[in-house]
Amino acid sequence: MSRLLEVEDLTIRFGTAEPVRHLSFSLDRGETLAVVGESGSGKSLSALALMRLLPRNARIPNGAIRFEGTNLLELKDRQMRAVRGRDIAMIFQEPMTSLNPVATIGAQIVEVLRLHEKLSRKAARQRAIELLDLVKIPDPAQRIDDYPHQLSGGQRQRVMIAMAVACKPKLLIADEPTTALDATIQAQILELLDELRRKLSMGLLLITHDLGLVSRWSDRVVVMYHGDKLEELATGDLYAADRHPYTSGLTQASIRLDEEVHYTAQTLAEVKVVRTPQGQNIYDVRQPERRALPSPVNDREQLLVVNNLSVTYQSGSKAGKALDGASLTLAKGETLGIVGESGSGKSTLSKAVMRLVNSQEGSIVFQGRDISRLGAQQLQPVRRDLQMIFQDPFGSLNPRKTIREILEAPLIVHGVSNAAERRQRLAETFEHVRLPSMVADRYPHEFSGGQRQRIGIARALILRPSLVICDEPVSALDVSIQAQILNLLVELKTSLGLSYLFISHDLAVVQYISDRVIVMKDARIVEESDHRTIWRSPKTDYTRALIAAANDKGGRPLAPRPRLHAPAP
Amino acid sequence: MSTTDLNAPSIALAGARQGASRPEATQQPEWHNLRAPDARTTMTAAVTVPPGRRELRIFFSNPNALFGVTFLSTIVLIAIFAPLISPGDPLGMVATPFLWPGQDWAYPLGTDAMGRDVLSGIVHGSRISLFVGLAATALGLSVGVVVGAVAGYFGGWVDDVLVRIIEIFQTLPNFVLLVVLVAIAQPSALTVTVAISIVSWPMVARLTRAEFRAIRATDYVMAARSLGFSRARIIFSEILPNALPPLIVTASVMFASAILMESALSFMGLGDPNVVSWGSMIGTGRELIRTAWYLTLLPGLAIVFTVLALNLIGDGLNDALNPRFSEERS
Repeated sequence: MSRLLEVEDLTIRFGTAEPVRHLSFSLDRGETLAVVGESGSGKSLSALALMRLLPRNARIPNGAIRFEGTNLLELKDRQMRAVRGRDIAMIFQEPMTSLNPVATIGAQIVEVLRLHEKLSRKAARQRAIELLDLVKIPDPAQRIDDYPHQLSGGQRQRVMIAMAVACKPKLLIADEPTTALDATIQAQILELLDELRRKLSMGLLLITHDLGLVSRWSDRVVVMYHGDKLEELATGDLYAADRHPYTSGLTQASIRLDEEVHYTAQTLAEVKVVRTPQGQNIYDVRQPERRALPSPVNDREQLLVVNNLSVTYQSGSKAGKALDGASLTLAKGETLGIVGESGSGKSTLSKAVMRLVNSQEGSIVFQGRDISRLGAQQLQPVRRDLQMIFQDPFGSLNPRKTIREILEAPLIVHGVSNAAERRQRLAETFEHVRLPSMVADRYPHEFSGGQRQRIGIARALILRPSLVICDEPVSALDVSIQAQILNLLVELKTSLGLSYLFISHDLAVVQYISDRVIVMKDARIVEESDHRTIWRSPKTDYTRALIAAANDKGGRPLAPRPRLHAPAP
Repeated sequence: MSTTDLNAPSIALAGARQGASRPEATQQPEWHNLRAPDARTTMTAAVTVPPGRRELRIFFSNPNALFGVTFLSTIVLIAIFAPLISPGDPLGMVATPFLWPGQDWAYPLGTDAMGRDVLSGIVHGSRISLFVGLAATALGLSVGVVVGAVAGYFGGWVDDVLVRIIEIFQTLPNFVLLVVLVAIAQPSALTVTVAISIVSWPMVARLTRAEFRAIRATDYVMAARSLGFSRARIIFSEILPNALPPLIVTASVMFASAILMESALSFMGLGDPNVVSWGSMIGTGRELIRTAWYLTLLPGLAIVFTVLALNLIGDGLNDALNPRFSEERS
């Protein structure tokens, strides 16, 4: 009997570009294969190719996709439609948009069932209820008539899974199934997928960038970079010593909460890929360096004191609190981490401090002055000292302006009228964020995510602020880039004497960079502690749950990583 | 989706811009992933491209748009050089009435019931059509953009008030309002222009408002606010350039409809009586449509082709400026 899925020498071509080159792998029934890679590695395109759902301008010049011996590439469209949904099913990253908002979830599952199986309306509905039960939606007989907006993100992803497994597919492709979900939900979804794989003896193709996930939930791993498959290995060997340099770079660059790495003790490993003019990639890992930076203490002069800050929003006739009585202090040179799940009010807090949204109660004392009620004119000089780095490196730069225009505008607005001085400030800032100044006349779209984030950092730094608010600055970035940006932020902090308010949902990142940590839930601050205590002896159940979710994503325990052997200073 | 292949030209470009400065060499490794593989960049690279050659190239590789541009520039040249092409007053009687086209080669397109030269009328008529079209578009566009920008950016009660005003204009039938406006004022090129812009600005305002509301929520506008940019700077320098593509496309359509409106007014005898226009030529020729149909057909063709040219340009601009849309269609 042939294997469930065999991909041979698959190449995908767009015009002259080949985002996937000569990809081969195979998958057996009941097996989980993870395809790992950063954005642009071609992993999602390969998944779409398996479903024959590539964009119309894509071509597959060579290769074969054999599903139970049949080459899917040779099937007619009508035959392929029968395969999709019945034999091969797929779930997508974004549970918010992959369900049709105007149909009940029951109707959507019934539709899939009746499309592929001869079932009466009633029998299909019965099956739908069973499926919702299978994916552990509580009270499925009632919830079946709910509309997608009545469900939480995790529940929507469960419904997506129910639709995908409705016809007992032999192969399930999960493209970043948990990336858009909070950590506590992630574990549950993966557990569910794994359970379904065992029950239905499906092949599971797990496409992800998250190495922690891979090492817990998959049997084998295919590592891709920029369209090339670098290696294929058993998951247990992921942390072994003799891996491909890129693989070992990735495993080293992704930080884990249970390792308790802190910026005062060491830098993070960085992966470097250098492309030679011959088109060859040279992979290199910059090993972490040990260091001993002093830990700032909070009893020195306070740069920022937020007292009982509340933000209410009006939606229709209801008023809700986006921020409820938040108080915090931040000393000079300190990094205050703020963690919390989506909707916990952490972004509202940062915007309120930036005075981008108005607060209704409380005070924001910055550099000894309450700025919470200042008008636009009086706020102007304050803005120079108070800057922000945004989450989305793609949305935070104006696409119609060159980098020079983006960086010079703040200087012009803040009265640096001398062109020579502006040029000099620009050069200085480029040096700070490690960008060559030759990039100045290019447009944002010519840069990759990490480079754009550097430009975003440059924009925040060019006015020489004393406090920088970082709102999820690395969440949209790949693991290797994330390490580079974190290293850069730490370096800038020490060399320029900055203070950070660092907001993230990723506990490991916050653990690495923060001196003190605040935990937020439902618009309130629930816990505050220094960076050691909070992880070792959390006071509230909520923090404990967050830590547990980050540490234990279920599945098999993580393989211990070889300790790094950097020479002690 | 090209990453590798764009590598070479973009580096070449950088080199060209950088000129002869070579000390960058040491930084080369740091900069290796210029155009680095990155799914989101490659996707957005095709979509949000700054103003530049790419759009022009797409625009000029579109045969329809090319035809539109060629035809429109011909009309513009004719309008500019009208006194040279056919000297003399187009309203003057120059020959026997009802000369058919080709009957007398001194008047290749014939003469009308009063013995006026039809060719001269069409040549001179292009001036009023283009003037009214251009001026009304410019006026309507500036008013509409300012109102829409203010409403979209500030929101709240400002938005409420402005939207109500826009709605008042939109509830009145356009052409009736136009006729009433011109009937009240003395018909002249200027009043016709103003009247047309009065009926056409609300559409622009609505479009601008929608664009501004969407762009206002983006992170780069948030960043601009956090840097302490003034409102005027954010509106005109940060948001407006990003809202332009749909507005440019609308402008070309507005131009076309302004020409049509002017022709319709002149047809009804509400145009400037002292100037010959395509619409008035059709209006006077309409009673003779059975015996001398060329008097209606020829200025009619002039209108049809000019409006067609403008619409083709609008389509071409749309394809060039909204690549997401055109890629889906290809």
